Amino acid sequence: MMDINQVEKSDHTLPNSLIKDKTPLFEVNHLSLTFRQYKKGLRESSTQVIRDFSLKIHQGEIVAVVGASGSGKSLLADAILGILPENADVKGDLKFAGEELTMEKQMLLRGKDISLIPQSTNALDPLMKAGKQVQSVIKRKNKKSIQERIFHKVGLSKKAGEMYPFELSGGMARRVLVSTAMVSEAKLVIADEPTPGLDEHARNETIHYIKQLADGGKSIMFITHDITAALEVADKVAVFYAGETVEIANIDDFTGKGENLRHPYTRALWNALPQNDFIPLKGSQPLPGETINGCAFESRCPIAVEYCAQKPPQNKSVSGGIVRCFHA
Amino acid sequence: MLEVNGVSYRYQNNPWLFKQLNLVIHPGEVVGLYGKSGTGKTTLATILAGLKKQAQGDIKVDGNLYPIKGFQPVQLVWQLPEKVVNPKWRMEKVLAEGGDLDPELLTALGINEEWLNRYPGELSGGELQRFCLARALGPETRYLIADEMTTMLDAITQAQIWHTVLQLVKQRNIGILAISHDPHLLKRVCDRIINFDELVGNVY
Ligand SMILES: Nc1ncnc2c1ncn2[C@@H]1O[C@H](COP(=O)(O)OP(=O)(O)OP(=O)(O)O)[C@@H](O)[C@H]1O
Ligand SMILES: Nc1ncnc2c1ncn2[C@@H]1O[C@H](COP(=O)(O)OP(=O)(O)OP(=O)(O)O)[C@@H](O)[C@H]1O
Ligand code: SF4
Ligand SMILES: [Mg+2]
Ligand SMILES: [Mg+2]
Repeated sequence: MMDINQVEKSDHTLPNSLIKDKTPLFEVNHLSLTFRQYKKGLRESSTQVIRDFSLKIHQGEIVAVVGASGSGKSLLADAILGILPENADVKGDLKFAGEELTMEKQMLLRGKDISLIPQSTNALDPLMKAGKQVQSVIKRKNKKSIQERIFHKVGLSKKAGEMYPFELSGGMARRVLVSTAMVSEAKLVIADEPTPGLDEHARNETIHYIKQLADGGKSIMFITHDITAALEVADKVAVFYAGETVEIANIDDFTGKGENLRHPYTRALWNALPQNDFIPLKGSQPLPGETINGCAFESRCPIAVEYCAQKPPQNKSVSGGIVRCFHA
Repeated sequence: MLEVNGVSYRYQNNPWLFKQLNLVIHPGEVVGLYGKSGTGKTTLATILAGLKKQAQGDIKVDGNLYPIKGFQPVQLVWQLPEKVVNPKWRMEKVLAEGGDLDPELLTALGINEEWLNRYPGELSGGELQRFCLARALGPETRYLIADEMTTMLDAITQAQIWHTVLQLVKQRNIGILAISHDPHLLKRVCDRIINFDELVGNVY
């Protein structure tokens, strides 16, 4: 069993080279996700939201997932946990610790070996005090003192533990959600936007703690729009656009004008940061379900050529990363 | 002009969050506000939007003293959009609360027509945030309180949304209070930036 104290001084850390040779803790291959929807007139239509997604996360590794709003990141998290709405169909292989992650297995592991920090603060129980909510996921003794210690870590006072969700500020609610996953004994933590709206101190504490969890041997999928945070702690960065990973990049690739990035979308994303050029890209992401014959980024891509619209580019390995673009 | 004169507030018997606070926002001006979590920024935002009453002091918008009768010209974009939309309403109905909206504005905010038919739970975090912004930008809005308005958006969409909003600021001469923890963003979009902790420095 892992205590949060032990996490801090744990020496389970394996050198990266060793980790890479082992079976990944979590692996997903060719995942796709489709919604069945009834439109006006009761015609059933299906909308594909995630296409051909593959990713491995090793023990002790942090993989950041960044990308377009509405590109399917939260649904990916829900698919891993097996908590999608009933009208969603998932295809593809999910593996946890080398074994197939079936629906029964997902149910068994959810909240135990795999835990989620959800994006929506509606996940908090409105009728339960914040401290109690965190204590309720602790399986060991000394629930209260463990909860207070983790609150202290993320900068929440003892008083905050006595508050109901409606009495918390936005940043406080966010930190209660983070605490809930932090005290669990999960081997895989999926953090879906754990830091929006946090002040600098709370944000730094939170990502520092995520890093500590990984150093203690946990695997983390860190979904975030805060690219700087991703670069501070992640081992690699998966970039999502229109339901696909367009690139899996290394931390060092994010520098300068993004010359080392392989995909034009990733480069545009990097340059759109307020601390870089704050340049908006014209147009919008294709909608889920829109027919795309070629590259999903073609309509906005500054270097597109004719055949980009005709057939879809496949994933390929380029200079230590993976990219889905003909020109990389 | 939106004028805040000597405004104070506290929840029940808790300590004062701010006392004798003063603030002015001019039409066409973008004012940034940042500060520590849990110190009262959202509370101030809800007071400015006329949704909570201050304990002391007064607020005037373009010469009219609060409480405002009829349409509230100061509109708030909430920090946590999931808290302020009725989960049982389709987005069409949610949007209707903002009055007649310009379809071009919806397009500029990256809101797709197909989503109008969905329930809030069937949208991504950033999609819902954009709906809440659209709802606050009705034709009668004179001031916008943008509480962490683009935190759920990727950098490209964030830049798109802010460019659209800054254009509206010019066209319609709207005044904005932008609450954010991102100093880079505030530097990009604001005419001046205020530290909330200094603003309430006189709390005891
Ligand atoms: N229940 C649903 N039915 C139909 N479409 C849905 C449903 N839930 C989500 N979607 C759509 O699927 C797409 C992906 O949503 P998802 O929440 O995964 O996005 P995201 O990448 O997490 O975005 P954000 O960064 O804004 O949180 C969105 O376009 C959304 O509108
Ligand atoms: N309904 C309430 N009853 C009692 N206390 C409340 C209530 N709502 C908020 N508070 C408290 O008031 C303080 C200020 O909250 P507010 O939401 O204004 O902070 P904030 O500055 O916006 O923080 P953040 O940066 O985290 O969004 C917090 O300490 C919060 O716990
Ligand atoms: S495949 Fe073509 S359109 Fe797609 S990103 Fe590469 S160059 Fe641009
Ligand atoms: Mg999301
Ligand atoms: Mg707030």
